[in-house]
Amino acid sequence: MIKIILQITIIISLILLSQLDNDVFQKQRERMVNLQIRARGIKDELVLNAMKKVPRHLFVPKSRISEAYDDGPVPIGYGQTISQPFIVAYMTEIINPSKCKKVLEIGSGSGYQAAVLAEIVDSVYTIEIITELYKEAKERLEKLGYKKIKIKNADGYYGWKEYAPFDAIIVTAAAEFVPPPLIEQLNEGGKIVIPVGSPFFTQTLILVEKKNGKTYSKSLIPVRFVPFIRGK
Amino acid sequence: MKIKVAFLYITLFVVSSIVISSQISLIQFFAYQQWYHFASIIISMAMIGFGVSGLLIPTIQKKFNDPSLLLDIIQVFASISFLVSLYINQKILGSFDSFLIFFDLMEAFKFFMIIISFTINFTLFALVIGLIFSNFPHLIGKLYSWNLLGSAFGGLSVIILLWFFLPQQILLLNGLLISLTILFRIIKYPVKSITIKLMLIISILLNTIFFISPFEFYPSQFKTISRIKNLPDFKEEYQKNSPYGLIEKASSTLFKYSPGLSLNYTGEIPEINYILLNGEIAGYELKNYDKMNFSFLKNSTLFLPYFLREYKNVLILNALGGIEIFRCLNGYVNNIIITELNPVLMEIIKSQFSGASSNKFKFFKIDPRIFLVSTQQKFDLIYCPAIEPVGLTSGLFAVQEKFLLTKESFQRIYDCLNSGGYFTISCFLDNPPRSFLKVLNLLSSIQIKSSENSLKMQLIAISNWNVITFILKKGEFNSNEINAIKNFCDLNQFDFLINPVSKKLNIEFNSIFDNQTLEMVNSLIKRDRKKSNEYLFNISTPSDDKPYFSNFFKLKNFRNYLEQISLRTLTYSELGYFLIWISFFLITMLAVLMLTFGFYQTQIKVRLKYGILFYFGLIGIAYMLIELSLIQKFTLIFSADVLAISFVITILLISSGLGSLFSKKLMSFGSIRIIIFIVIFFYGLLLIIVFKTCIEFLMSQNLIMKFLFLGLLIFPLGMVMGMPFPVGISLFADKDKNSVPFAWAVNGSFSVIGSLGSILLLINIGYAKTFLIALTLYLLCSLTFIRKIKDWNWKNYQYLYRHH
Repeated sequence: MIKIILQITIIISLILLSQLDNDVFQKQRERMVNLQIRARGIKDELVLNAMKKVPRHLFVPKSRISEAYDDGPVPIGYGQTISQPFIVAYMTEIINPSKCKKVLEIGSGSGYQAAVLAEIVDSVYTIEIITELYKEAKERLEKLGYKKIKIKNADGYYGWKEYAPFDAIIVTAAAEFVPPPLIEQLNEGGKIVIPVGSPFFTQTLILVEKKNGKTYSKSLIPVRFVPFIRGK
Repeated sequence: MKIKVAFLYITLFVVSSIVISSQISLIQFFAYQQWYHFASIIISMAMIGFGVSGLLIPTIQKKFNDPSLLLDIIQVFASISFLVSLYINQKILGSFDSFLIFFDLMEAFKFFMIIISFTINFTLFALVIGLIFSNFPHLIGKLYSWNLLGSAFGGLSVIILLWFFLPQQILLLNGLLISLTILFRIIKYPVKSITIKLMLIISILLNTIFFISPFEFYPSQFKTISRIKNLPDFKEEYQKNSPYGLIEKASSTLFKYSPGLSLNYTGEIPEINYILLNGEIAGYELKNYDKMNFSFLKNSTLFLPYFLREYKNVLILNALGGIEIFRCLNGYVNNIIITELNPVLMEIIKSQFSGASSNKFKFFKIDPRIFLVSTQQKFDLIYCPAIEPVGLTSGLFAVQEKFLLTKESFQRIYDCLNSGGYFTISCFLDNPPRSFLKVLNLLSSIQIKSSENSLKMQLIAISNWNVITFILKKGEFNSNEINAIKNFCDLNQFDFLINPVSKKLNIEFNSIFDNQTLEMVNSLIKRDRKKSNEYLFNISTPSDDKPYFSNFFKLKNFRNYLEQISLRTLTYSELGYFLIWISFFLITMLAVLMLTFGFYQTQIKVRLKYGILFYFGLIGIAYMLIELSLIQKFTLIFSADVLAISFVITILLISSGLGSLFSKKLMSFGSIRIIIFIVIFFYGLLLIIVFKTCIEFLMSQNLIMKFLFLGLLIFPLGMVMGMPFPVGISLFADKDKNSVPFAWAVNGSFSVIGSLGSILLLINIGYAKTFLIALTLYLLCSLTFIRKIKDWNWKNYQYLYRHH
């Protein structure tokens, strides 16, 4: 009898603790959204709500949970990182998600960006090349109940022809060139967001737009936390 | 007794050889696992080892009555020490990650532990040398010769061994070598201790096993080799080690390369093989090129020079594994000259072009910079491959010398052009913009002869969304050329960014620059240096004096960078520079600990301690500043860092050793000894002038002549630099014999600080000023000899100096 009572007590304590834990992370998320994202000019309420909702701490390695809501990228292994929260929000906002039905993501990583997108758009297709990361992301997304997300383990270079065309494509890894198949799989008027620079801490995002058969690129955010020109 | 002495000499020869070859092997080892500039850290670890051994010798000698047994024990431990360190590094701790050090205390701890473990290795070897010298002072002359011979042999042999073995194998080979030395001696003169015999057998067995099946490399997860190994169908096709580094060829159906590709290109991009040097991409090899449609090479900003005209001859400075030769072949070129220093890479390139059109090519197994100073030929087009984004290839090499990307090199390239010839270079864009601004600054630094027009009329640039291609013409661009460039841009939706006949920078398809960057581009074209000096990052022109293209740090903005690190928003390349600082503080901490221990342990007058701190501190730092400065300069002349390191260490070791031997004659000359420092100062000044004025002559010599000339030049300097230590020892020991171990510790500690400090100085103030600081420090030392002092028996301590 005592054993049963003890077990029930432990279970109740664990539930309470996890609730307490959830509250703590919820508060951290709200803080993250207000201080790191809204304060930097992200206005789309859909994006802000999605960022508030997705439990980012479940997308980072257990050993790095304390850093999950920090204002920076977090290493997730295999030389990859989960992007800085602001970058995720910015990439999501820039594709104008309310008008998108189908979004393709190249480089699922931990699955965080796909989860944020899935909170807004109808369907998300995400491709991860590293098998281990793919498996982890797939399991995580299934566990969290993201049914709108389709994930596959493949080379993002070829896009996902069966589900093309896409309204937007988000490339989360720096590339030397935009793969021609991705441009082909983009709807007229569609957008590709792709980072430029170092693969570890990409800060400039480039927007590639398909308009009247021509392709234009534009630098979106030359993120500058400190001014470049000094001494004036 | 005669045979016993012979074994002593052999031991000394082997151990001295191991100390040098292990340092160079470890430099190569960490160049693969982590990043390039581990060189200074390895040298520091070795010196700490010698410093610590100096402090330990008097203590352990007191505790062990049998010096022979003591020597045996230390040798056995030394024989297995590299194996233990490698095991700790690769298997137990797991190699630290130079990137994660900044975010993870555990990684910083691993880094610290690995420094400690390799320092212990060098301490053990230093103890062997120290014990032999101090126990057999009557044999000092011969011991010295064997010591010198061993060091020289180690420096040379490791260069040969690196062709056949991996660096970690060489470390185990060293362990095996010392074990066998003990074994042979034990066979001749048996020892009683079973423990020693047992340990020796274990050492031989383990070293042999791990030599035959060596530890695998454990590179940082952020290095290209680690990242591509994660890809599903990654396959290593080929691996070959050489003193230039480890070349690997890797294949995957996912590997594709097409810099500067047009966004309206819809064709195929073929698979390639990656060619990696020390785990970072050094080139790209096209697969199945005989069946290939090369249009992907033509729809790139990099193809512009071939679109403009035909060429009689083209010089390709590094062919990036061959892909840039294919680009060239798709233009109309009759004569292609290719330079590539790395012989392994050259073989890979050559194998792709051995077919029917092979008469078009001339391959030169030579560094491009050396080729440029040696050739009398002029070229229609000189082609420099794209500079990869910061954080890719350059990221881990932020403090590596890049002598092709200096203003002297660019000037030479320009001078090698035919009238009307082009020099083209492309650059990936990074953010914040740095690399391409530095390239532009370099191009604008080229001195154009007065008969030619201003830079504005000679420079064009086109860009796509992430690559910018520059062409500098030796002469003015004409309207036909400008129209052709416009057509090329329209076809591919590129922007004709810098157009000689346009007042503004042209942007139509790719709005990738903000106003500040565009302003900076404008001011650089106008050669307005003031604005570039105000930039947050260092985009000043690298020179042969400061050849650090990938270093964008400005010391005055250090605080800003620290803020960026705390936000984790600073790119990896800058972290490489921070690592030098972290290592500097770690090593300095160890040195200060050693110094504090010595300071309080030594029972001499406090005033004398300060005198020792002043004198031995200065010579410790000054020696290292000169050694590391010479390595930097000789890297340009030899065009291979490993050769430069090996050569400088070996020559300085031998010459300083001889110098210290000759200094005996100066012991009784009192204040005349000041002359030593004056000679160092003026000879050093002479070397600065010689290296400035004769550098091209030295670079253009063959390897043997280089060895000869450079050896002759630095040998006298090494000799005089070998004198201050024994002379100082004689001075202070005369006042109090107990001051010697402290002097040794001070010298060792400051040498350690000096070695990493010199890297920081070289990066920030350049070779000439660093060298000058060292000479001034030597001159300051002479103040100690104002008063006349008596003679002292210095013999027992001379060996210490050579390893300080």
